[in-house]
Amino acid sequence: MRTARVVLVAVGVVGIGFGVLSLVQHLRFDQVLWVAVWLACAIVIHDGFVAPVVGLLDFGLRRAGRRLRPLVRGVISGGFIVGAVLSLAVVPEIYAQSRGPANPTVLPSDYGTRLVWVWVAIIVLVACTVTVSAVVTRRRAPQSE
Amino acid sequence: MMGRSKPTAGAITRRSFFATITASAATMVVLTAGQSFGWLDGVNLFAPRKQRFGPQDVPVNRTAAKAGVLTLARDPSWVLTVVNGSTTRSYSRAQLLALPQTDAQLPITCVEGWSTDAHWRGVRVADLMADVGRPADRDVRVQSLQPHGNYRSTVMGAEYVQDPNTLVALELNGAPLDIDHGYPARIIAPGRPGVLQTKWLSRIETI
Repeated sequence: MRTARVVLVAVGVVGIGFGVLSLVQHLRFDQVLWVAVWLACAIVIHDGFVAPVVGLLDFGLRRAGRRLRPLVRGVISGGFIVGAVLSLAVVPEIYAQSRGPANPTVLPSDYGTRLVWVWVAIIVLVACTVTVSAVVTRRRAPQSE
Repeated sequence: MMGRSKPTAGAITRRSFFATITASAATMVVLTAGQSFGWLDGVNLFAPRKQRFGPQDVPVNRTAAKAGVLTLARDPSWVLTVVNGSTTRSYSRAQLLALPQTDAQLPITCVEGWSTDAHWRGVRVADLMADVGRPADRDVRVQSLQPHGNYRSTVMGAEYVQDPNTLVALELNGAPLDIDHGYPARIIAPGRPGVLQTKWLSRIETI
């Protein structure tokens, strides 16, 4: 276990070192600055927005779901995270599309509608899983958790 | 991160953490990888490109208008200049079409992440270079009509020049090259990123 950790950390450090080296070798100073700004923005968005929202949702889900089994809670939050990750990638596409793509073969699809349908599919899938799980639990002996 | 701390009641378990990460990554890949892998094209909901979506069933990165070559590329007096030292030959598009043609099934693979297979037809670069007496181990410089842009002039290693599938392409998917795909002639070579598949060719020279 300890060896595995040491190896993993070493691989990570080498990877980061290679990345930093490539950065300063291939980019101009102002470009490196913009990479730094981008990374800083990612931290601000994560800590200032994503983490609080997820925290609140988790809090709400735990309160509402005190009687929910861990599996059900996991499926609900899992579905939300899958949808959120997809949205993080697709919303910038919709924004770029609204600004006008470089040519008609770039961003050719109706991403907004598709995203809505995928959210609907996730909700249906989660609802089905939760229902099936509830039915199975009820059919089993009345042994409580 | 939390490896040492005691798990609190209701906290996410390691198992559900990994299950959620796996599900997120798998969903993301399945719904976007179709822009590069044909068998996932049917579920390509969110990728910025679609395979076979574009003129002649191939997407475009830089159009002729954006590259500023519309007039130069349509000029009837266009010739491809092939140079080795003091030997220079020029070919009109009709003259290139009269040379032995080679077919190649090669993809455009863009560093942006998309790729599309296509059928190309044209003249072998190795043959054109041999005609001006280039030694087989020499690299070449490939120049585009583009007046500006980072890739208007690129170097092609001898190993690519000698590949029998490296072509001065004149046709794409059974029709003359669309101007956005590099009319009157472009480079297509195996195993090179899309930006090095020079469009709107003007000159190939031994270096």
